[in-house]
Formats: sequence, C-alpha cells, structure tokens
Amino acid sequence: MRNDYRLLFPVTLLCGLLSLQLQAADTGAAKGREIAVAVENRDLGYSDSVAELTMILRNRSGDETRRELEISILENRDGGDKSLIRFDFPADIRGTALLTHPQPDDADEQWLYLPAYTRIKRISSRNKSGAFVGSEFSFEDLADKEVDDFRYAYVRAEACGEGILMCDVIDRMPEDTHSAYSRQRVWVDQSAQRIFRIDYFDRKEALLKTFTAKDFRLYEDRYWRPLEVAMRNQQSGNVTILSYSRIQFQTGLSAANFHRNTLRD
Amino acid sequence: MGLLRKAARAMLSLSLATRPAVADTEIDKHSVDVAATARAFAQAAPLAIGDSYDYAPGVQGEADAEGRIGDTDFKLRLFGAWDAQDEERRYADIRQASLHWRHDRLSLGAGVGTFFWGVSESINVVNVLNQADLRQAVDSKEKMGQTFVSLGLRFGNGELSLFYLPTFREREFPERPAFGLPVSQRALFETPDKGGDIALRGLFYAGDLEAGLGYFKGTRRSPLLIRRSPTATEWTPFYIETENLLLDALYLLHEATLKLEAKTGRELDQGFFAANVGIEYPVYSLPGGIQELSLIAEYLVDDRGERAETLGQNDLFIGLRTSFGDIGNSSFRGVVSYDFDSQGNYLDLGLEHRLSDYFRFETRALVFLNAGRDDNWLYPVRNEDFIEFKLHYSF
Repeated sequence: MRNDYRLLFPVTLLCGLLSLQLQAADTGAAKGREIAVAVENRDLGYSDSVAELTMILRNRSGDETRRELEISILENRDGGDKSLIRFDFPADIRGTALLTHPQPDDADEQWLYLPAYTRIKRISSRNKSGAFVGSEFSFEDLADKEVDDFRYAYVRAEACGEGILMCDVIDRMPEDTHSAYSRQRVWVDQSAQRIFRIDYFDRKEALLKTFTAKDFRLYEDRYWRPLEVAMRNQQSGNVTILSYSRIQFQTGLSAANFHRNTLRD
Repeated sequence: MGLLRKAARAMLSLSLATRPAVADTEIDKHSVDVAATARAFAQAAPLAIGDSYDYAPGVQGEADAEGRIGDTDFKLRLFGAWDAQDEERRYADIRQASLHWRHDRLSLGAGVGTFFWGVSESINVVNVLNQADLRQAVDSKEKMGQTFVSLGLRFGNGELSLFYLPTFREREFPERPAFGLPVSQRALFETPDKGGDIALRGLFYAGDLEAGLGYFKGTRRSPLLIRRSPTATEWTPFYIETENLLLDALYLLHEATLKLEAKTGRELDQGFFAANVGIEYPVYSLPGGIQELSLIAEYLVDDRGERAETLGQNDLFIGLRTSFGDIGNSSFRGVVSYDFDSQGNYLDLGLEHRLSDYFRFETRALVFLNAGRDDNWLYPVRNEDFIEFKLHYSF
C-alpha cells in the first residue's frame, strides 16, 4: 500500500498542479474578458462622434508625409460601430473615403470611394493586414472591435501613463484566422478603462507594431479620447501619428449618413 | 479718403443687405490640380494622318468644388487641357456641375454629371451613361460630363435610381493615337432624334454579394467607325440606337473577389450579348518592399463582331496591381491582353509616385505587341505605341 501511495503521490501532485494552472488560466481568461467588457461599457451611449485629425507618416530616415481626414462613427449596439473616413489633404486624394459596416459573425462590409472616377468600390475586408493609405495602421487596426472578436488572458498589473496610473495588462487573441496577428497585448488603465498601449505580435509571435495613446481628454463627462496616438512598426522603423484637432459627440448622425451611396454624395 | 469710406460703407450695407442669400451658399471643399504632360510615340504616324507628331508636351488642369446652396448640395468639376501638337487635345469640359437635393430616402439631382456603373478592372461593359474621353484615356476610363436629371430612392441595403439624359455628346478623338485614318467631324446618326435617353438602375448589397441591375435606352456612346465609300480617306462615326439590360455583380469568396458585368439588348434590329467575367486575388506572402499585390484576370466576350463596343470581343486580360508601401505611396499597374481570335495583344503599364504632399508623378505606357490584319481594333493602332508622363501639382 505504501508503495502505491508513493507511486500515486507525484501523480496526484501533477494533477493538482495542472488543475491549479487550468483554474488560473480560466480565471485569467475571465479576468481578461472582464476588462475588455469594461472597456466596451465605458463607451456605451456615445451615439456618434466626428473627429478631425492629421495623420503623419514618417519612415525610418525621417521623411514625412501628411494627410488630413475626418472620421465619423455611428454607435451600433447590435453589431460593431459603423465608420466613415474621409480625406481632405493632400488635395489629389480629397474626397477619397472608406466606409465600414462591421459584421458580428462575418467579414466586415467595406467600400472605398475614388472621386477621380466617381467610383464606389467594394473591397474585401478579409485583406485585414493591408495598410490603410500607406500608413502603419492596417484595416484590421481601424475596424471596431467587439468583445467576442478575441479570446483573453490576464497578464499582470503595472504602472502606466508616465507612471502615475495603474494599468491591467491583458493578452487578446483574435478569433479570426485571417487576422495578421497571433496576439495583442493591451494596457488598460484601471481608473477609466483607457487603452494606453497595444503591442501587436505577428503570426510568428514576433513583436510587429506598438500602438501608444496620450493626451487623453474627457468628453461629455464620460468618454475619454486621446488627442495623439502613434503606431510604430518595430520591424521597419516606420511610424504613423494621428493627431486630433477636434472631436464632437452626439452630432445627430444616423444610419442614412452611413449608407453605401452617401460615399459619392 | 472720404470717397473710400463712402465706398466702403456702400459695400458694407450692400453686403449686409445681400447677406441672407450669400450666407446660404457655402463651399465645403475645393481643390485644384495642374499638370505638365508629355506624350512620346515610338513610331511616326501613318501617312494617312496628315499633321503628325512624335512628341507632344502639354498642360492640363482640373478644379473641384463642393458645397451647399441653401439645403441643396452642389458639385463642380472643370477640366481643361492644352497639347502643343495635337489640336484635338486642346479643349475644356464640364465634368460635373450638378445640384442635389435630398430628403430622407429620396434624392433629386440635375445638371452635368459623371457616373460610374460596374465592377471590372479592364473594361466596364455596363458603364453606359457618359461619353468616353479618348483624348485623355484610350481605354475609355475618363468620361465627359453628361447632362442629367435623376431621381433616387435609397433603402437599407441599396438604391433605385432613374435617369433622364436630355442631350447627347459625340465622341472626340485625338490626332494620336490614330486609328489608321483621321476621324471625320461630321458624324452620322441612325435616327435624327438623338438625346433624350433614359436609364434605370437598382443596386442591392447583402453580405458578400453586391449586384446592380440596369436598363438603358438611347444612343450608343461608342460609334461605329465606317468608311462612307471604299476610297474614303477618313472614318465617319456612325451613332446607332441601343436598348440594354445590364447586370453587374460582385461576390467576395474567401480572399478572392469574383466580378461580372453583362449586357444584352438590341441594336440595328439584332440581339447581342457582351460580358466581362473576372477574378481578383490578393497575394499575401510578399517580399519586403511590396505592401500589397493583387492579381487580376478578366475575360471579355462580345458577339457583335465588327459592331462591338470595345476591343474585348473574345479577349483575356491578365494583370496585377501593387503598392510598395514607401513614403511616396508608389503603385504599379500592369495589364496584358490576349485576343483568342486574332492572337493580338497589347500591354498597358502604369506607375504612380508621390514626390511630396503637393507633387506627384504618373506615367503610363501602351505597347501594341502583336496585331494581325484581322484584328479590327489593334491593327489600326499597331504603330501607335506611346508613353505618357504627367507631373501633377495639387492644392
């Protein structure tokens, strides 16, 4: 009998450790998801927003090019939020626009408007890794995220926001097999659920890009928005900076403003 | 000083008096694009084309404005070009000058407009409303303004539109590329009552499918080029009447985009069918320095023989579109055609590069590789290979 116990002991220990680890993974996933839900809830009820911003594309050697754009977003509680991005500068792409209707269980519906030919072009949103107007933001990075688009894991808590805030660090793994990423590590501040940083890991688990946000402002007493965000490609050294000059909420936009054919209006 | 003050006061009171009307007009966006252009042809023009040239510098410009007058939107696009050699390429055109009034799901439009129907990359079989501007693009992708009145009704995932197109514009041809013979300024028409065309379109989209069903009845934009006698030394454009049922559809199948444009109808008392069926496929595993690459294959069929509207009668187009992801946002497009009947083919290459936020460079080359005598479209232009350079300044 003793012999049996001796034999069983390491097995029991192993099982116990495994179940502990599984339990930890479970609670990690649940806690990670909980934080994602909190981020989502923080934004509920904003209805719509219109932002004017400047996009600066800078390559490793410091060459720069600039775009000016307006991003309109319509809150959509049943699915992802609809968005319309319209360019205003450089003049030769003025009027070029991208309309996105997110689909909860499917690839998003996306259209590109090319004013030179007055052409509305349906584009395949499965090309998620494609760069948006030559920037370091891909179409995937810009599309609205739903909680169920990812699996989660809790990583740790650590100081963020120049050391004065505490952030939860979570990993989120895209459910979509067409995603360019294997994993995204997200820093969410505990006090107001603001995303301060995202590390994007490519399919080979190498760090591809880092998103950072700063100069957060509070709108309508509830919605935090950063006035400057940057996406740095860690492999190429290129960086794209979005600098917001104006953000307005509840401007009265409706689904009609996000109809496919409003692109050429 | 007193006079200036009086004048200023008069102007101030005038501007105050007219203020309600002036304040109602608002320009939201405006831009200007000017370009230095040059076209160089590989060979001398055929003898039949009199005043010939090999190299032609020029300039072109376009002005755009959009805004509102009261609760009505307006759009304006004016285009002008001047070519040092080619008199036919010295002209101005109103591409767009239209008013649009919208209320809820309903929209009314009137004026001059440019419309796009279709999904294909090479040739748009169903894009029938506007006359093509061959002086700018021989592939018919550039359009001249068309007078119109339109009524649109939007619904959740689509729109129904009705067009009345009161006037007809003849096609204008450049001196080069030449179609073997000069083109006469005196066109012939099947019926004297040209213009007054009507068109309908219903567009629907659901999930991965997008489809447009259209109807057009009126004068065909693409003329037949005929010789009025066996000894005629010029082509005479002959505009015929046409009635079309049009379908364009796009379906996203995994990564691929499937495209179809089809047209059937009657012309000169004969039924016809034309279509463009194609696929576009993105390539993901790319070498460094290439950001995006799409492969395109399209097959065109047109059973009208010599009366076909485009060179795509039984032709395959294979091409690629790529962007390099550099700071200049460089992109390249290359298409090669192959005619299964005559074995003729041509190459269409284009490159674009941004030099700064204001300057950009475009070049495009058309090379006719192989054109047998039995190829109605390519044989006349077999010696018309050319390259075009454009340096644009936009503000």
